[in-house]
Amino acid sequence: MTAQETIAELWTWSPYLAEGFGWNIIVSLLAMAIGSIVGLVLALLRSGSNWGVRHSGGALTTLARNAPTFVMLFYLAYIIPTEFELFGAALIFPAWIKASLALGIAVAGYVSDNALAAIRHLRRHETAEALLFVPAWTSYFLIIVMASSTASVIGVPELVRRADTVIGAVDEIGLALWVYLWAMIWFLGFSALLTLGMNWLSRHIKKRVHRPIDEGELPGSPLP
Amino acid sequence: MKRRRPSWRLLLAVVLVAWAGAASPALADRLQEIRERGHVIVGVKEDYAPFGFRDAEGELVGYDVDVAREFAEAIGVDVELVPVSSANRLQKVQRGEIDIVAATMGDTRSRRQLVTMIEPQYYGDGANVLLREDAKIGTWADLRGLSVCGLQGSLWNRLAKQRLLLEVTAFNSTREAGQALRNEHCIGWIYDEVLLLHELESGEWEGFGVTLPTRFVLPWAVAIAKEEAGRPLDLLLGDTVAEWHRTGFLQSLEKKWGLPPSPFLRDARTTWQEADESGALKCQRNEQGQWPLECREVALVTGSGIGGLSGFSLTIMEVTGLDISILYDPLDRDVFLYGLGLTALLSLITVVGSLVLGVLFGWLMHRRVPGVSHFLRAFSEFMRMTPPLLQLYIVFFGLGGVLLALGFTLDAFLVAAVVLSLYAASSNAIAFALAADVAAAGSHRLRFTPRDIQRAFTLCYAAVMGNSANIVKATGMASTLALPELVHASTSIVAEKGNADVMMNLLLICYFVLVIITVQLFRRFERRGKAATR
Repeated sequence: MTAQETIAELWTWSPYLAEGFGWNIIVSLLAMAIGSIVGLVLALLRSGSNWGVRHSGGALTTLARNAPTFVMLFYLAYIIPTEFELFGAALIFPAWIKASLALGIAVAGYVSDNALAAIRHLRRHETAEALLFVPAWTSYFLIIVMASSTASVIGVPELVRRADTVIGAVDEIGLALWVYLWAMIWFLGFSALLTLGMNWLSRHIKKRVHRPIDEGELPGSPLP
Repeated sequence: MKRRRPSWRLLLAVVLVAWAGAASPALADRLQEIRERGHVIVGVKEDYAPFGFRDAEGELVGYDVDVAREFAEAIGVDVELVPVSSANRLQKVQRGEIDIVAATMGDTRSRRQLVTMIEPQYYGDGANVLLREDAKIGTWADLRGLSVCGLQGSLWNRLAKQRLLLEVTAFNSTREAGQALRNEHCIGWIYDEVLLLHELESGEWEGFGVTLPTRFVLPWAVAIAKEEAGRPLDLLLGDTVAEWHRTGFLQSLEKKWGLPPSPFLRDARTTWQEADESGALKCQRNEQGQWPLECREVALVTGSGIGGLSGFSLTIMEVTGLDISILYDPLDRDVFLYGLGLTALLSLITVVGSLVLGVLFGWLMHRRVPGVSHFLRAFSEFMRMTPPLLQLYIVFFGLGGVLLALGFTLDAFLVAAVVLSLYAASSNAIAFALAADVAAAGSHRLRFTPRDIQRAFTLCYAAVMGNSANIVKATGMASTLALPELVHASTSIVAEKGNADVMMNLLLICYFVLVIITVQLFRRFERRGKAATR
């Protein structure tokens, strides 16, 4: 296969792959939505005044923080039926929602920790510091988009899954490496754009924060 | 997904039935009935040579037919043979149309729900592989990941794929499978061991052999009606078969019908002949009329029949529907424990690897070494901004494919260990470099001394600990490279046993424990570090 043929092949399949990347974004956004709501609730529990409420919020956060996302994918895929009845209504539970749920658990743990810090800043009327929650949230969104590729293992037709499909369908020795690299560039491009935006936002916020960086602001850990 | 629920009602019902069964007077005894009738009705196959088939005179003959005649002898009556098929043999015995069925029937747990299987089993066959003698395959594990030929529709193909992780190419006929092996399309031919040995005896397989131990042995049993369990007919037939194993009668039948020596019969003979120093046989019925557990096929036995851990887990299954197969099925246990060990090893290697590389890269980034620092920073950002799953695929399938064309193969474990280490190392490096910058406070750069390293390391400890916990969680991704680690092991057991609820919870618990151990180890080092600096 010449370089030209390879490029032509990649070009042909790009719309199909792009649709797959759309799934990555959808799954990630839904995971962020679910996780942020749950995480926010957990943070509110943890900042409460009641001992029992505070500690149950803490325990749930620990659980969410330590849940292995990749294993949770399989867990939900195997345990939750794809279709079931609830109060007489048939509910459909497709793989992509399960993937969002699995990723959402990790988001909940992360948001709970960061939102708690933000709530404490707000209570001390440190609005600018509390705003640091926004870049932290965005950087985690990036991590979740990377992790959303694991949804391929339970059959979500996202980018990596579609790259596999293309490789299997074209069946050309040596093409696999290029298709995977092409898929990687999609992720890389998205990350670069998001990071640029995020850096701009961070600088904007940090201009209003007059204190040195502390260790809590070191980059968040990837791979939930 | 259907799931039986544990309920007190079920428990109560079990207790009531057991009590009623114990209290009610004995129903009409089948053995008594046979003796009064003067003949025993045995169902046998008529189309399955050499077990049950019709000879030139149209008479039913074969291994199973001889077994039937001997049973009649043991009971002291004549025999009436009734042809049965695989489809109707269970119904016929349950409806009472026949007393005994001896028709090449494999003893499986689901069939035990319908009929009483006579123990010990009277024949057994498993899978084996016909191998080229110079193939250098000493154990089944050596075959992992290799391609073997098989026959379509064979029970072994699925088992070999799921349990042994072989690649099976299934052919339509024995001829095609044999030809494919000769043409070296595959390393071996997996099939019924009896048939492979039969092939070998034909003399057409110079330089080939069946050398591995038998796998997936499925014992064949004689069966009687369900309600006859533990009653005189059951005991008499069981004692008769046990005696046959001791005297070698079944092996003489095997020879008579031209069957190759079956490892099942060989092993059964050893088991049933075994005696202690005083000469007392090991396999004798206890007061309840049951054989000792070590003489039985444990995977088939139901919980109420046996004690110990296996009995406990099987009882759980009967009452609650939870199939904890790794407690009673040695094969499942091996697969699961191997997976757990592999996951633990992979976790350890990636955590240590990512720490060492992370500190090294981070320090180089902090020192602003011309060229090197920029490269490492770019590389770390690249690793963080691409999905780790895709990184694994690129190296294993993409690069692996290119290397394969050049004659090299990549090891899945090695790829997973290196890629995941580098992935976590990138995050560690960025955190460490930032921490080093903070520790140096811009005045001078840290040196590569234990003291300086520790200063920076303490600052980024939380981030590194988080990265390490996360990389342990991510080791499951190695399952996508067909590495038989914990996720792979669990899903393959589920494929076989259908016990997703049990296996998925076990899997999750194992991972929780692994993550917690990782975090606790870090905490311990942190405390020790703080105590040392104080």
